[in-house]
Amino acid sequence: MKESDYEDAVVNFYEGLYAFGFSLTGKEDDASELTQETFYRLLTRGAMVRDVTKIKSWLFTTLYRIFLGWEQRRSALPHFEISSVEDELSPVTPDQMDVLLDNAVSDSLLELEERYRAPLILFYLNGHSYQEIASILAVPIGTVMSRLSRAKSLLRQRLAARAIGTKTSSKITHLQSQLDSVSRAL
Amino acid sequence: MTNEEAKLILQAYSPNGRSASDPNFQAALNHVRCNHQLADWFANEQALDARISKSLIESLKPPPNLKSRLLAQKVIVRPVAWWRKRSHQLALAGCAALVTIFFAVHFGHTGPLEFAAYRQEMGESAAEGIEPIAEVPPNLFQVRRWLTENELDAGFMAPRGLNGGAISNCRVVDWRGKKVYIICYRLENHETAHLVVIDRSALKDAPPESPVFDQLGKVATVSWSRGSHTYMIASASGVLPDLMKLF
Repeated sequence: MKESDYEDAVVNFYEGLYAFGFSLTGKEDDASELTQETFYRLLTRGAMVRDVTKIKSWLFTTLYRIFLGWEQRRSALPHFEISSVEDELSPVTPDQMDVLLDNAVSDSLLELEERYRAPLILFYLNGHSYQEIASILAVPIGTVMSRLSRAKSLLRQRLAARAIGTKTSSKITHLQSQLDSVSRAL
Repeated sequence: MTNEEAKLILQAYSPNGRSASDPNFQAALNHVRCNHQLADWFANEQALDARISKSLIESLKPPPNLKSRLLAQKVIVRPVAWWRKRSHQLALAGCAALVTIFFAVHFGHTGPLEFAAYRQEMGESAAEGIEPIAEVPPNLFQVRRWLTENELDAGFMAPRGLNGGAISNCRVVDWRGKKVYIICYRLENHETAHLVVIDRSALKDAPPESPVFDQLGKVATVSWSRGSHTYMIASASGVLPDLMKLF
């Protein structure tokens, strides 16, 4: 691999890889380390990538494998599991999206299980097709389809919950300020 | 094709329009064209996907220095590392031999060693400071790379509680002829915890897989074994409840 290929790969894919790493780990440091280790492997094992058009897919697959290796080692250590409860809410609407901040979307995404988070971030952020997602995650195409469908539904339920919370909170603030005005007038 | 089947397929329709040329979507798209209700659903789906995609791009930006670190990496990786140069290798080998001889004469051990002695000596030494045979950059990625390049096992793993901690110092030390890695983490409460890692086979009575907590004078320790490693966290200023929070 030429130096210019490496530089092009960094410029074109580091943001997407970082976001994928962040969606998997939920931590900036871990996402940076995953990205760094992925590019380190490109430098040291880049000769394996003969077709430069496959670099994108190779990088995402490599990052995911590194993450799985970390998880395997981590799961060997004692830790507490935090159970999550699914919200039974109607899916989010475009209007509700208007009241949400960008961070609410990534926060909601991080609440999903890893098997739903990983295909979703590849789909939304990096423009991967479902065939590419299947190849990166090493799962059948049918599984990608059903996980994407379920993941979107779960993400939108969580977004709807946040949107309702934001609206309620802004209504309470508005009422509070009205009450303050009335108190001052009295 | 039913509406539900069409929905399942079209939920994988890329928000950036790349799927338009994919023949696998054509049947589902044709189905949408014949059904107004489904067409509304698909338009709403596309609008939401575009909003979510935009929000994610805005909120998941990498740290500002990551790109320059990645570009600098190619300069770091390519040249021959100083420890690989022959003159330095000879000097390092000489130093290592002297240290090994010193420990061998001083302690007179060669086979597996007792865990109690290891815990006592390394617990205190890690907390108080010990002369290293190598200082490694305080970054977990570089620590693993350094270990791999020096043909040492880099496959150790810190407990979850230490993962968010900033690394302040990394050392490889010699304990009675065995290589021990010490990685010092700065915790959220500003205390320091030293993760001490040794090959499990170096100890004849390595601790079990579940953590064992001990207070050795002023030093709080927790030890456990996993895979081919035995781990210990030592903290001179810490107390046992603080260490328990790390698991």
